[in-house]
Amino acid sequence: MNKDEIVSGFLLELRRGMVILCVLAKLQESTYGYNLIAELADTGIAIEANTLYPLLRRLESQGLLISTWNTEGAKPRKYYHATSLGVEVLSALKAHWQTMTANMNNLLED
Amino acid sequence: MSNEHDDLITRYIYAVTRYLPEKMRADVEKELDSLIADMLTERCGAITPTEKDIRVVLTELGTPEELAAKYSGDENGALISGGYFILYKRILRFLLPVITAVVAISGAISALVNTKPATNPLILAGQLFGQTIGGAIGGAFWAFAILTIIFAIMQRLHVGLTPQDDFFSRLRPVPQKRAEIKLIVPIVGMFWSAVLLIVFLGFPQIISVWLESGTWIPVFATSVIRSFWPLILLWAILGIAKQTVMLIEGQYSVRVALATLIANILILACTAVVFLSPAIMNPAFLSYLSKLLVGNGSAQLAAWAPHLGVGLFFIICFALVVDTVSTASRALRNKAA
Repeated sequence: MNKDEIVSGFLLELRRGMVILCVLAKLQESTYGYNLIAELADTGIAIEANTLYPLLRRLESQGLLISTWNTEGAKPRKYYHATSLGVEVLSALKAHWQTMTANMNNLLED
Repeated sequence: MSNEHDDLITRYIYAVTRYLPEKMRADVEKELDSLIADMLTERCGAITPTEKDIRVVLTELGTPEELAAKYSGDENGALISGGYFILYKRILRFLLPVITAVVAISGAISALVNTKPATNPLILAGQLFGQTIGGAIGGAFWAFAILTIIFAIMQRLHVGLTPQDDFFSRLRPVPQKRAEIKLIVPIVGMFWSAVLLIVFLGFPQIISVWLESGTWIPVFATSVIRSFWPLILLWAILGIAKQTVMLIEGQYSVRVALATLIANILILACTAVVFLSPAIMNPAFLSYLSKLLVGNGSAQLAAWAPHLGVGLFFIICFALVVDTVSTASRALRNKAA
């Protein structure tokens, strides 16, 4: 296994945990999956559809998100937004994230 | 979009959803339909997507199996993993060689015993080879399959392997180097118990003496030996149980010493009943032995010939005592250290 493969493997693990935080943060406002991918991409966070869609479904089954089919547009779209539990989980995760990044920055700067 | 392209998308979505639970299907179908349309719009804008565009978009989503795995949450699912896998591997490592060897040997014995005396040696060799190798492969396959199924079910049902709460009490002292029981010791022990069972219950007639006249005289009275089958079975089970304790403990501990003592006492009792039974030896063999000894000028020894069973009993008795004492002394030394 060469260096690039090792790096991309670790990167994948790092991202996996982060994605949930991204999704919960973004879904304070209601939107549909594909638009979420585009919005995240605009902020420099790349997430693939085949990862996001199953993730949205999993978060919904955990009660963190709620979805509704919107059939008013040209094609039906499934809109997601965070539930109150989702918001609570987000704020808890956010606090952990901030501590973690601060600690990590300290560690990495040494 | 032409129908043909639609068909490609429809078939892709069907290929994904057929792996999913029924209640999810309709929703995922609608969702993927909408997603693929969005992806195509992103890629082609107002232009009608070509088949190539569709193929690119679907490739981006991954193979139907990959996508279905992500949807069902079984992405990293494994039949046997974690703590179950560790134990599974450990059991498989000793079970497989024991079962393979035992089945191979019983195959070989059965080929030898069931062959008519006049059989062409080449055919006999073929049968021997076939039954031994075939038996070994079959035995290994079944052991592997059954153990795998048991562990897969255990993992599915989340059967607790060991109590989670208090593992401290289960932590064993690190054994002295000499007190460690190597994996091979119980494996060989179990193997011999199984061979003993197969020979005594299945084919006692193979323990026999060849006469120059071209006939075989079985040493034991076959039907009498067989009539003791519950005791012989118990004998083998006790042997295997003793080895199992050794396997689990992994060192000569007081528990191993106690298990050995109890098992050996019971084995001794079984041995006594079987070998002290007057009818156990084949009378034809005893009279042959007697004649042989008289012929050699050992008339005094010949008088003892009818008590051969008693002699065998004492030999086994001696072996059991040695085993018990050496196990106990190793355990005590380990404990003292």
